[in-house]
Amino acid sequence: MSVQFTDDLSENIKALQAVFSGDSTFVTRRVRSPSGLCCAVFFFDGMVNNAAINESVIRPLVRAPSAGLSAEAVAQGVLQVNDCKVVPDTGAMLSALLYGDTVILVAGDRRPIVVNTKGFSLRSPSEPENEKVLRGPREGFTESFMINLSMLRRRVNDPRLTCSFARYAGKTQTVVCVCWIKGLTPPALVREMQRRIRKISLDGILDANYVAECVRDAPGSPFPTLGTTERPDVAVARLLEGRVVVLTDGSPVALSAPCILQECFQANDDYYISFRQAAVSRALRAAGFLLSIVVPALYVALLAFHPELLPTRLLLAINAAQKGVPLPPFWEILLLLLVFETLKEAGTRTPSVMGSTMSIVGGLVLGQAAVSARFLSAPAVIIVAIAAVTGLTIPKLQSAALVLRFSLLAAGAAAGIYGLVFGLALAVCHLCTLRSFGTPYLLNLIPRVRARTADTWLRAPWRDMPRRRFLARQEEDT
Amino acid sequence: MKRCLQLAALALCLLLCAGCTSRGGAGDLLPILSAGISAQPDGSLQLTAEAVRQNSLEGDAASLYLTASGNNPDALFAGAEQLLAGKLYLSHARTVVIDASIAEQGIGPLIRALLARSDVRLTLRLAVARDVTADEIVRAQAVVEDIPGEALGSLLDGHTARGELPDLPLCRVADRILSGGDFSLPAVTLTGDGRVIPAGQADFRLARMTGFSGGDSDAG
Repeated sequence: MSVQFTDDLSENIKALQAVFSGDSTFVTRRVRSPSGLCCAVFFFDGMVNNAAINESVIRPLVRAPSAGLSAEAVAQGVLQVNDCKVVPDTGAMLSALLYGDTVILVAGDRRPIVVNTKGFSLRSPSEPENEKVLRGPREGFTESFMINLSMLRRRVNDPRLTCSFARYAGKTQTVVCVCWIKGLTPPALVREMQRRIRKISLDGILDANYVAECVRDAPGSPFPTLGTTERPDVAVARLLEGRVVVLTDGSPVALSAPCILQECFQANDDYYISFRQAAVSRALRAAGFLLSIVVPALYVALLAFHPELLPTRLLLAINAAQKGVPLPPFWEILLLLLVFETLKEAGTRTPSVMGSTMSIVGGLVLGQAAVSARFLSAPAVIIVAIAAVTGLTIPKLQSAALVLRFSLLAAGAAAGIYGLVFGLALAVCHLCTLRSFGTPYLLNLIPRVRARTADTWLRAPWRDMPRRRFLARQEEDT
Repeated sequence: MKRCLQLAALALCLLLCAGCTSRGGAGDLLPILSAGISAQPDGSLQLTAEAVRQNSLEGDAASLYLTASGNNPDALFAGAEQLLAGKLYLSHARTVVIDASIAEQGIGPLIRALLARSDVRLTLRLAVARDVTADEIVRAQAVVEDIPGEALGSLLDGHTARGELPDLPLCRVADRILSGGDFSLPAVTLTGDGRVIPAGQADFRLARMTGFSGGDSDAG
């Protein structure tokens, strides 16, 4: 959308008002100084900083020393703002106006002046709910990407940090910003990210996930091939590792590429606590993920196909618990897993005041009642509880854990441990085929270069990791 | 993506149609922990199997004894299968005790019958009842453990670990028989108060027992 301006101020005002006719928030303010300068000021109510308009735009215009000034002269000599420019492109002018800037038209000049007076309300930075740390920075990204950029700049005080903006051409005109550090990030990676962003063909971008789903590799895979974070410290760490970070206006989530499987097992806390403690935590997370996907399938496989592998006492206990239960183990576990996923989904959507009620009803009452009524057996409840709790240790792999848990359960129920092993082998084959922006997804799973083992399954002390190492600089290592 | 979903749907249909998902769990099993094979006066064999059942998580496991008769080991196991509606489950059995008279006639057919079953562990221990019948050994009350079959298995394992009894599980016995070598099996008997104790060893040549050695023939 664009509008044609002339040298006649009244005609220009009419033309701009025609574009936003019917919009009650569109404000037009005519200004005439004692010296004879005629201007019109346009802005959207609620999007601007009123004090800034009054003090830095209206007041200087009213006090303009002479009439007949050009747009440049007004911008350079009258307005008292830090960011104003003459924008001949009316399309860009309209975008700026819609985004909280103020437009000034001067009599006798067809070129509009755009003044940065953005003043819409924003959420202040707070700690992200899903990336909390026990120790370390508590700051999180907000929905304003300029604030998010400032958080990155504050941490990377280096001129090589580069931020490239691209305004998405859909109806939302969302700004997507690609950030990288020159000299650390391979230029090919930056170009590839920019190419993929340019290829997005949606009618609008409302969140970083819109971008993520369009630019990621293997969109059908349950494993994340694009990193996400709401924490500026994590985003900066990824920049320092030579990755590309993508910020999307309106979203507190930063995307990073490439992404490898191993970073899913890493947590922010790992870098802010003792390296010994971090090593234990990482091992627990890896074990938790494995248990989460394997335990239900193993339980069904053992009971249905290989009871001889169970110790006698355990077999007797399970035997006793299953007496009178009408469902075979597979259906018991499947039903319980579905109930758990439903409870989790309900818990996510339930207001926090009702959360405890739902936990009691869902977890305690339903679980206890189902076992007492012999509808389900106690070992099945325990197995699903183990799978559920261990699965929560890896939030980044929850989607993968969900898919694998059900797939392996089916494989285990169909062919016992052979099916389970076959299913796991298929999963490993799938992982071997995955790549994220050209980087193998299983990179560093078994590090071949000694120097790169410093931050893989274990985290070395910081004194042994003077430089962050990652795939982007693997040439330096070899 | 579409192809993956189609494959997943196909796999699910096959799984459901195959009926694998309705396979029962451990609730259907009646695990047998020990068995005794005794000779009957009419020359036939009798299998006494100790099965264990636990009816609730809070309750203790209780033993129950099943008996089956037959003219040879194969017929014995077939009879037991009929008794349990085809669910004779020997995977958790730790010990099979045989009468001395049966051992003297040769244990080759018994070993073959055991090896033919897929649910018998190769670590199963064989023992010979000395001065008592195998049925009496299997039915003897346990002192330490609450399940006699487990107690008997632990007793043999403990003495074997200390080197007091020959360490010859089923796989080694089969190996010795096939190679035609001599071997010895543990012998067990009952004390006066009905406890099972080791009583030396039974010596075998060409799969037939030649006699007992070591231990006390009159433990009572």
